[in-house]
Amino acid sequence: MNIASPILNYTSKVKAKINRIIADKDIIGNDNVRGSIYRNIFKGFIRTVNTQESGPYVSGDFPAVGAPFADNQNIYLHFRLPYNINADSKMFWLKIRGYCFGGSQIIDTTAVGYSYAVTKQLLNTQVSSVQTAELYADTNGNVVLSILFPSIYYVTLEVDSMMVGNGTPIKHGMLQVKYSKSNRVVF
Amino acid sequence: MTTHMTEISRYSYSLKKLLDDTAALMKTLRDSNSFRAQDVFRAFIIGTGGPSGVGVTGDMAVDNLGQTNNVYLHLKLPITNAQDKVSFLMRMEGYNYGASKIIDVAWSGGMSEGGLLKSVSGTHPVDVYVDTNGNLVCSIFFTSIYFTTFNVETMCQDDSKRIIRGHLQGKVSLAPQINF
Repeated sequence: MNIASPILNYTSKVKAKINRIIADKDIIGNDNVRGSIYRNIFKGFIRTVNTQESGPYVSGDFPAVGAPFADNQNIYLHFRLPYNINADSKMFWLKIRGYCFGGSQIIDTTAVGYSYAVTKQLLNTQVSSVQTAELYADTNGNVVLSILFPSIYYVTLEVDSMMVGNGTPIKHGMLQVKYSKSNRVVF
Repeated sequence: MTTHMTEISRYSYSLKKLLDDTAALMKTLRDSNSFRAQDVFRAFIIGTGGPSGVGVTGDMAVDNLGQTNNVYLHLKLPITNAQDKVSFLMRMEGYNYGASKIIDVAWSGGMSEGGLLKSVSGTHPVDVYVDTNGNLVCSIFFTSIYFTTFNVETMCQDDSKRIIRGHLQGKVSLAPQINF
């Protein structure tokens, strides 16, 4: 009798279970249950988006800056949610917290809203933020939250989401980020 | 061979139990077994009557109030006015879709020498009161409670008085104060 195959199969099941336990540590509540909070869905650090201190330099979940900016002043971070007003009728709740060292500011932004495909609109939104922040749909319909940093030098932040209303879980890997000097970008 | 198979079977059962226990323990440690307890109470309220209908999922039921506008939500704490030197901090976060509002409120207070001490703040009108049965109750007012999702966390003065999942009771009403 060959028991190697069942043992390997069993080992992979154990590994999957352990990975599941690790993944669940960031869910406050239960996966796919309304009112549960997903912590750490995005986190990272921006030292500079221009060439000072051998930059640009970012880490964590932040994507590469690409061509360096002329300076670190008045940079928008655009967070693309996994919803599109042309296709998705989903409610959402996001909270971003951190430290904007360059601007000597707390980062504490909460944004709620409803991507509504029937009329292709963002409905019932509210944004509470230390920095100027705005919810908008880009020209492709993607739902985007922008935050304007007076200086993006040494910005550290972390994002949580709550599964609200008819929304779906927004988890790690589902947010996309762009940097710009403009209050609008297109994903 | 049979002995080996029995041993493997026993081993796999033990390992499964260990993993299940570990998962449950991690959740308990994080959510409940500390001064800060998370995910203590959560619900998704669709409506409390009228054109919006009546609906809720989560940790509470709702009565048909005949309307979904101008509704109070009450959370009963496991504290009574017979207790002394007991304090709490409770926070609620969520999305109040019907009023297009973020929910971010805090209630704090406790009993000291027979008197209720309280301090509240946040995005919605909130209050702490003692009902006629002596229960401490935290209330929050919604101009519309339509499609409202929230999660509650607590902090307590010590381990013996912590407020965890299962300790809170929720009700809705049109009156600013009710009795549990």
